[in-house]
Amino acid sequence: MTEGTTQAMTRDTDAAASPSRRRRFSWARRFARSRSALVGAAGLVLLIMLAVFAPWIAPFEPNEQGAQHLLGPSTSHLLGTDELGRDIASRVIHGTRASLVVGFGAAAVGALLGVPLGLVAGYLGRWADTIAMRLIDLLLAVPGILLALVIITMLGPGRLNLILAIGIGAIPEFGRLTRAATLALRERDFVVASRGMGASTPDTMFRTVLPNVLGPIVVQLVVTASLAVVVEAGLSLLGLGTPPPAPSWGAMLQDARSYLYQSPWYGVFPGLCLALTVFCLDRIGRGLQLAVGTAMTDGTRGRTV
Amino acid sequence: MSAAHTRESDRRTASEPGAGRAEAVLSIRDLVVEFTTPAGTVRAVDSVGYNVGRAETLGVVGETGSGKSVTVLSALGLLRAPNLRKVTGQVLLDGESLLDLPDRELRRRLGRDVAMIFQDPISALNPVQRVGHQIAEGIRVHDPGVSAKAARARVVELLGKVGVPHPEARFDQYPHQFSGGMCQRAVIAMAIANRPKVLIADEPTTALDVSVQAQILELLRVAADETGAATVLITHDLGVVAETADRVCVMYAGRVVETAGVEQIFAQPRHPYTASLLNSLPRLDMPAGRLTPIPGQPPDLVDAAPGCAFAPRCPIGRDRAVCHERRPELLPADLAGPDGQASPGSGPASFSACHFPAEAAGLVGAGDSGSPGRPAVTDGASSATADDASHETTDDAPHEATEDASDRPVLRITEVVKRFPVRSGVFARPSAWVHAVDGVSLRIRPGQTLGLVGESGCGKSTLARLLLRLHEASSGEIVVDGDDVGRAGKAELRRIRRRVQMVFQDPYASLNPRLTVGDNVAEPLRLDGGFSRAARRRRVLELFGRVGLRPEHADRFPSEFSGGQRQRVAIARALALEPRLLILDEPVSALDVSVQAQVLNLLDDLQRESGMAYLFVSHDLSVVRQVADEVAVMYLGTVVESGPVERVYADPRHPYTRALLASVPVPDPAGRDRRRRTPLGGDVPSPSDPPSGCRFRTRCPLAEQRCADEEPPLRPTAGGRTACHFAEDTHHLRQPAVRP
Repeated sequence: MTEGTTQAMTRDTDAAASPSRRRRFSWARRFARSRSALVGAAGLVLLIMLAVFAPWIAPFEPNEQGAQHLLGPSTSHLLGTDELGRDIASRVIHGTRASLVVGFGAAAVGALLGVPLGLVAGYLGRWADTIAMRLIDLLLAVPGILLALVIITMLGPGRLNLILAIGIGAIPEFGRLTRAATLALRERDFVVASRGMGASTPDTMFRTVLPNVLGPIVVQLVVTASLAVVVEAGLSLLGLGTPPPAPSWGAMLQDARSYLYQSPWYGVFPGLCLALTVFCLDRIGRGLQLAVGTAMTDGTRGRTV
Repeated sequence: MSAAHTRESDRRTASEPGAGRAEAVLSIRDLVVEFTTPAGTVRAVDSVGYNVGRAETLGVVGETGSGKSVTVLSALGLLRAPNLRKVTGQVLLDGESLLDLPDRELRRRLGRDVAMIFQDPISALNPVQRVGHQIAEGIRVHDPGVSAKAARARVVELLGKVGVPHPEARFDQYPHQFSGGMCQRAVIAMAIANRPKVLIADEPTTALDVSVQAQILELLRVAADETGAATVLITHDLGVVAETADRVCVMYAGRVVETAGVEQIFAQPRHPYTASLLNSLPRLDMPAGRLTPIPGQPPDLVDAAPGCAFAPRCPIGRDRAVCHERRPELLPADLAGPDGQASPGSGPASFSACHFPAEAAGLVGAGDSGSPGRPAVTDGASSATADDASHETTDDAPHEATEDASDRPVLRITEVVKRFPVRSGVFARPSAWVHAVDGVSLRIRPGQTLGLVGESGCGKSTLARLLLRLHEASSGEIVVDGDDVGRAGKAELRRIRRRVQMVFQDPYASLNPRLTVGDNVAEPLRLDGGFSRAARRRRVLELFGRVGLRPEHADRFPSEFSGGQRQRVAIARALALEPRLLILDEPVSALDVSVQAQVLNLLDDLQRESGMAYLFVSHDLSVVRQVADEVAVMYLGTVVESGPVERVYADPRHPYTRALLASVPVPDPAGRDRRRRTPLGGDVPSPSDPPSGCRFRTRCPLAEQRCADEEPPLRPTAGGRTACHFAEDTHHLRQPAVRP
């Protein structure tokens, strides 16, 4: 009998101890259950490593014009050289930096401006809501790429301006998402309780509401980053992105276009890297979405992923 | 009379287990239901069996997660959860095995022979289809020969039968035009339209107010008699069971622990769980003693231990080896009672899944006789007499408070009004006003509990929120501990809010899910600013001790706790800054009976230790009687009666209070036939357009012309206050079953 009870008791304490760990890492756990999300995460880690350690990984300086121009892939130049004799492999590796920095930078700018806007609009309501939402409508009325073009034209090209331009276009998404989530939380008991405990409005907003809306915002961050990578490439293609001679996938694609007949492989790798980055971010976004909660997506889609 | 007689005879046939099975319309045997969850396989139903005979009502009682609903839903193939792992056993509907039937055949059979009544009547009806058409559709699907006209006539007849007024006009209305009670009536009409053989009512009155609940219970009885259907009534409310069931089946942790006739279950339970449940129930027909809660919580169904599931909480188990080693089977337990009064011939058989069924019967009432009446109540009663005088004298000048330092009220509210605008039109101008709270005056003295009772929509929760200015009062004065809440500036208001704390109804929603429970409790301390991190931590652990939580739980998240534990966390949080007043907004309504008793006792202890005042808002009259010193009864935004708890419960003068008290189902089946009644007809009128004069007059049995012309003031009557013109002569109205 004693054996039975002690057994039951140990099982009891085990069961009592483990949920804590389970709860804290439940996001990660649910995320890890999706294989494609894991592949995406692995890909992103690889890209980040490439970006961080580019000077050590790349065989040449990205702007070093040492070789013959427009060479095909060979053992000395893995992906060949461009029209100025620069090593394409090295430029692709260094280009990762531009893409990731602009991608995540723009997403961060959008979130930093959009989330407080949505939070204030959703929590305070009334005139604050009206003003914030009209502001967002204004931004939405202009297509994102056009907005970015106008801002770049005004501020001039450069990486920082690029981040700002794309980030501002991402404000509405963050604002509306945050506002909707805040509205749903505003009258929940624990938020009312926070007010009832004597918390000031900013305290309730940022310490109680914000942590509870972070889930969908993180998802949006990844989605926006993937979009921003594409927009950056697009703007570079138009000559408004990363200014030469700094390496950027978009700019490389633009250059490769002129030499499509002489060296068709020139544009293949920048394009492939771009696609890969977007694919990885997309997988991560979807995985996070599922991990954050089924409320964001319907169950059927969840099962096929 | 004849219906009652048939039921009596049916009951007797059901008493022989062998014969009863042949007679049974619905028979469930050895049903096992398992679910797959991330934590492992959950056996939600574990070899459950019961029979229901023709025209018999079987009450299935149990707490949340006991498997009471899952049993019947899965038996009828109505459960389609994606993580349903297996359903095995045997289910016989009129002698035919249901689990083997192909899907199509099963559906046809269920549609014809089984009808369901759900907890939420409003979502059970299709909102975009006229109510009458929905009922008619059910009739015509099963009998295509019925013409549209004949179906309409039949539906109108049915609606009339279930007590829907103006059935002809109501036929063409949509569900949103029906009140909750009316919707449930329509659902019942739909259920009995095809004269089903089995009627399943899953918590049919849980979402309804007490006065409407009484009407619906009466109606269910009529419906069962009318159709001769075998009724399975699933509920957590022992009062409801006592009022309606013929036989009762008590479930715990996925198993039937006891089944017996309704009289026997309540008088001589053969399982300690049943007895403990009865003891933990605050009830109006008993003196308000301290409750005897069941310690601990229901077990986790993952990996159930080999012995009796109730053993860890059992009051008679005394850690006997057999309880932990061998699972008790459900066996006949028709033994002589402790007093030797056996009644084997008269009642239905009693089955108990306990190794020591004879000991269980001795538990009932043990808690009552053992502990004397709660001292707080007697205090309240004695001070009440002294209070009468002060009521009389201060009545002329309600604003002039006797401001003795000791007797200064913690809360004084005067003529508080809250109106919500109903906006419509292009410019969103308020086109009407909802008078949620309409001129309420109350006061609470230190260390006292004021119970605020009323049905849903009476404004009691709004009033509670006005006190912290979570809503802005439209007019009136709210003074908390000497500070005017309405006039306080931002910083001042925050200070006031820290001295008055609130506990909410839903413990699942009132804790911040992103903070650990310890951090949740520390929130008010952090906001106060006067505590270092270490000091906060010390205080949290101390608070955990006071509310009966283990200190090592402080670092877990709210989602890991059960409802009762979360409510303890919420209470600990409210206590953190030693408030002078605690506002408890339905704090135990979301909890199971056994856990409810734990929390009520905890609140009682805390008040005695710290001298806090409570404002206890609840719809449950029994619970309020248990905790309150003074009571205020609200109806449509006004207080209709107030006074010391003994006065309001034992000598109610307002017809509404009397009706409310008479509506509460009494957990004692003895003499229920005499009690059967529906004291209040109709529904609460809309608060946006309240009746003139006395608001209760539309449902009042005493109403006269005067009531429509003149609003009765809340005036001193018999030691309390009553807002009725006829407060002195309401005695002849039915006396509620409250025992002082």
